[in-house]
Amino acid sequence: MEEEKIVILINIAKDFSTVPSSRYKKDGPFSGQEFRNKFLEPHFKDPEANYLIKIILDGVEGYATSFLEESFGGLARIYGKERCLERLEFISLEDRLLVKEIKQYIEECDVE
Amino acid sequence: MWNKLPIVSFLACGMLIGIPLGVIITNQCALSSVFLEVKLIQLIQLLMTLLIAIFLTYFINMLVNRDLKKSDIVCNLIDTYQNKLSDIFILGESYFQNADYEKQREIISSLKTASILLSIIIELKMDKHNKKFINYDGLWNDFIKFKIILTNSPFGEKNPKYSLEVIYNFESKYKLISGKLYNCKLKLYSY
Repeated sequence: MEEEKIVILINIAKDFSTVPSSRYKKDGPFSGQEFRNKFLEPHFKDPEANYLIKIILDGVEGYATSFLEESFGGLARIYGKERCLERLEFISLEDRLLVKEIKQYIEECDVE
Repeated sequence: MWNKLPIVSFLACGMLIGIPLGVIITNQCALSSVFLEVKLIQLIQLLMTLLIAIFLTYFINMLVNRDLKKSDIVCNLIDTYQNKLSDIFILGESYFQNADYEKQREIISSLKTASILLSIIIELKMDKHNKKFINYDGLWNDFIKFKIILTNSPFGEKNPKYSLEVIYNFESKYKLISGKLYNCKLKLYSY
């Protein structure tokens, strides 16, 4: 029987902020770098860990490209595109195109 | 509700004129006797032809109306999306000149609304009657490029500096999207 995967749930609006802002910490609070450091990287540091990380994107005012690119594109630059796409699952009922947009930033992380 | 009085009056007048007229025509033998020797089969054929014609007209009319209503819905959505993009364009131009936190938040929130509108437009394409050769993936790609030009770094930084090239790209992308959206609206009403 297949082993059940552990699921980590991150709700950006509840756990982080409803007003995520720009790219770097130096630009102010709730940056993409801060989100990546606090919420994503701890689950990627162990190379053996393969649990699923579900990210709920709804409930925020909106996302700037700089925030999304630094959070997810930045993560892919450190830990690899395949590993990110395999372990991250995005949920958005409000904006159905947002998931496609984030996946594009992960796929094109080398371009940055 | 319709006022029935004029209709009833009109019908009554029609009867008052029609009955004496019919009597006069019959008495004066204005109609040839052959005219009244109509066979039953001819009458049935005439009725069938009339029924088929009425049914076909109703059916075609219903199809055309349904298609037009769907096009109207998509067109209204494209209008709303276009207006939102226009708001974002004005905000973006203003942000390039004088960046502040309020404009930043307003841009982000408006982009979210625009993205939601675009997702609804794209979902409606699932209906093959509404497809009409519109490149919906192209619309999404253009929107993402427009968003990237505006909200990628240095967006959100303290005192961001934008080059003339970025401003030019932003303006040309907006013009390109506007042109494509007008084209989409035209295609919605073409057969």
